[in-house]
Amino acid sequence: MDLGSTTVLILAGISLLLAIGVPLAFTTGAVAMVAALLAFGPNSLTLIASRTYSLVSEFVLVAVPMFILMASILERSGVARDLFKAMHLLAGGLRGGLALQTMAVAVVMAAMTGIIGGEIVLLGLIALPQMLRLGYDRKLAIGVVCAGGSLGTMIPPSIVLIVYGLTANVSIGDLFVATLLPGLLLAGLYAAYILLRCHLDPSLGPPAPPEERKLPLGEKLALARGLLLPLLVVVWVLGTIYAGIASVSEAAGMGVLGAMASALVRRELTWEIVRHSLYRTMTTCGMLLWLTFGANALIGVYNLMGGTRFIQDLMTGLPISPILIILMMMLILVVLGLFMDWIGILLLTMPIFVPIVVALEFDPVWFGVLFCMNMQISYLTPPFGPACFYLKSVAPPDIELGEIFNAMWPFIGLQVLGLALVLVFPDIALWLPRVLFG
Amino acid sequence: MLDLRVVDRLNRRIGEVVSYVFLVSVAIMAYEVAARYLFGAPTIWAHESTITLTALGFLFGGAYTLQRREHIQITALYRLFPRRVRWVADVVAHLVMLFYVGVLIYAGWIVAAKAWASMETSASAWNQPTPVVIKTALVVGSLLLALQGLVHLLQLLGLARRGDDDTEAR
Repeated sequence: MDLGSTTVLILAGISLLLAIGVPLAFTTGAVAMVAALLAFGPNSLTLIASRTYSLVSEFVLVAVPMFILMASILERSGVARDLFKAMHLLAGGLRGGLALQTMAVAVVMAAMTGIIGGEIVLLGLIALPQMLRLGYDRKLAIGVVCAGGSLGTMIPPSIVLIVYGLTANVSIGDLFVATLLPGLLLAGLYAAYILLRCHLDPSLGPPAPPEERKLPLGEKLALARGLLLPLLVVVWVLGTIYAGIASVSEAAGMGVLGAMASALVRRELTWEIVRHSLYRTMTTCGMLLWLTFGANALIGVYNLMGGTRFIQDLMTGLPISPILIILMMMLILVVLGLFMDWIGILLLTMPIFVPIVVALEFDPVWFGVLFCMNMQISYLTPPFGPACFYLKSVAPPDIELGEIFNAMWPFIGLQVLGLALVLVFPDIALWLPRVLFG
Repeated sequence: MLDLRVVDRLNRRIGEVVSYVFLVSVAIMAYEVAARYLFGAPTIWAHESTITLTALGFLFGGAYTLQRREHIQITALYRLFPRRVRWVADVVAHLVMLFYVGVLIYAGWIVAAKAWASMETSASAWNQPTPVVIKTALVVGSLLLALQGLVHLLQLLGLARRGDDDTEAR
């Protein structure tokens, strides 16, 4: 059988199994096993086990549970609530101020977490009720929470970037530096949108009444004290990576220690919090890693068949300019993003796409940033934008899923704009790593 | 009717206990950083032991995640199925999973047996049999995963009592 038909068969098998609800981790794994058995016989199966072994022996993977643990501990403490309170003192009086402060909290939280979910839930619990209480436009309020909360995987640290770095064989430190400006660009676009909308129509985001924004000096100081350490942890974790002092994994480990220290200083550190954060880390890792095992097996077998080479020749042989090939890949990612989670998309497409990107003489770091921005879009787009489902799980019951999805469109537009900007001006991503690492 | 909820409890307990590897890893890395920058004497064991510990977490995490039913599925089409079809899809899904994990156990077993036979070491300065530990964990972790999947399947077929905490399965 030729490679073309094999590829189609593999894709059909995956689609069928996914459609009937087989978890992604087992779908890719099972298809890989069948493909290996049919193409190379039972002896090739040990290769899959060996690949799994080498995968879990990668030191960079240690960073994944560390960042999840750090985020779980910080999310369980009252840091987000205090941050929101502090921002309220600064921005509450502006038109759309509450939405702006939500965005600011989202950015800071994003620098503490590297995964989507927890942040949206927190913002949905803390910020959304406040905006609704003040009579904010519901769509604007919902959109800010989902778009802002999704920045967790865009602004470093980010689990998406760690897995990308591992898959594409790119320095994770470089990726962490390169996504900083594009991440802030997205946040800036969101903030500009909020300001513009509320300037044109002040009823969309009324300012908070002045008595709400007064706080005795003593309480202000207490607030600042509670926030100082968590913010230092963020600066410390990213700083040690940027300065090249610690590896990403070690920095993440120190981040956990920092998160525990800040919870301790805030008198919130209990054994309960640590225990439940560990359990959360276990399920998230079990989910992510077993997905990676399956996809890694499938890509390994496909590669052995010569499939990766086949797709590469197919794409580079197209009579179109290289940038159009990149655009085509972006389109494929957007379409996959409608149905699949970032991790599945990353593990299945990047081993094939990145060699093409490199062959076309583009920077794989830049492509990683584009991928990351693309996944931001996937979080918000119906029918399965995970951000919307996370928010739905904590939003007041009168907010329907349909209303949440409807609120996403302007923000999706802004994400596409941000993506286009980085696509046209690669230096938005590549300038900072060049300055820092030369 | 069989009562196999003991498997649920077992996997939950094992997962909870193993999750502490992440905390121990934090402690080891903290020690390593202190040793390197404060005492100027980096260890030869911190790096590999962290890898081994977190690998244990990853490999045992599959069964724990399945017990908590937190593996990602795409339920778009599934949710449109009538009840009866859903049931069939669930049964097929479990068989697919058991096939994959079964083969993984078989392949992992061969790889692990080879590692045991030569007491394979990491070929580093520390040179401990960490590969044996990780390769064995792959087999044991997969076995637990398969066991949990099998219990879910039997529950689905009405042959075993459902767990207390998943009356509304999925």
